[in-house]
Amino acid sequence: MSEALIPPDERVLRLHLESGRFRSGAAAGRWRLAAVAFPQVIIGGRARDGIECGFRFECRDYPRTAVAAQPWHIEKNAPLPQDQWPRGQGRVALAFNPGWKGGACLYLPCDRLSIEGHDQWRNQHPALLWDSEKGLCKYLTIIHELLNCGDYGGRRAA
Amino acid sequence: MPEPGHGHPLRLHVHRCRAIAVAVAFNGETVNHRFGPGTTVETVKKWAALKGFHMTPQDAAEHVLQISGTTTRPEPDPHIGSLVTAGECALRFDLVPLKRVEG
Repeated sequence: MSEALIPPDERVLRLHLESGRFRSGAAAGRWRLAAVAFPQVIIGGRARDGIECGFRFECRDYPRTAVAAQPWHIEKNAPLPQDQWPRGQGRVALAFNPGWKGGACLYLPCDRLSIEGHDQWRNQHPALLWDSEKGLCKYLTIIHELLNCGDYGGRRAA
Repeated sequence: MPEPGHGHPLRLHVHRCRAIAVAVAFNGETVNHRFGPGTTVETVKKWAALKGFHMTPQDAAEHVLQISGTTTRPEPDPHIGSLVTAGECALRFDLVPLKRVEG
C-alpha cells in the first residue's frame, strides 16, 4: 500500500513503532514487536522471571483514542488462557483480572475499555491515563513496571 | 558511529550543563545531589530511594519519580539532561508511591 493510502491512525502507529522510545524499550529487552496487522498490534512484554507475556493491542483511531490491551498467546495467535495470566496479590492482580470484561483488556486507566465508567480515575491516577503523544510506549511502560514489580508472582497456574 | 562492544545501543548525550542539580522530595524531606546530564531517570530514582531516603529495595521498587508540580512520571531510560528546561541545570522530583487501581 502506498504511503498516501495508509490511513492516518495506522501511519501514526507505525511511526511510534519506529520511534526511538519504542526501539529503546525493545533494545533494553522490555518488549518485543511480534506482529502488526492494523488495527491490531501484538507485542510481547518481558516479566522479571523471564517469561514473555503477549498482548494484542486494538489501535483503531490511534493515538487520539486509547488502545485496548488483551493478554494474548503469541504462538497460537489467540487469547491467553486464564491460567497463563500474570498473577499477584496487589497491583498485578488488580490490573491482570481475567474476569474483567471477559479478559478483553487490562484493568488500567490507560486502557480504552477500562476507562469507561471510571471517570474518577482521571483524578485518582492521572499519571496512568492514556497519553496520545507517548501512545503505545506509555502503555507498554506501565505493563513492564507491573510485570517487573515485587507483586508479580509468575503465572496463575504456576 | 562505532558499534559499542557490549552489544547494547549506543547512547550519545551532548548537553550544555556539565551537571544537573537534582532535588527529590519524599514525605516532607528533600535530598539533593548533582548528576551528570547523561544519568538515567532510573539511576536517580534508585539513588534517591535507597541512598537518600534509606528505603529497602522492595519499597524502592514501589516508588517512582514524578516531576514536581506535575503528574508527569518520566520513563526510566531517558537521560535527565533531556528533562531540564532552557536556561536551567536543575530538576525537582517527588518520589511517589505506585498506587493500586481500584474501583
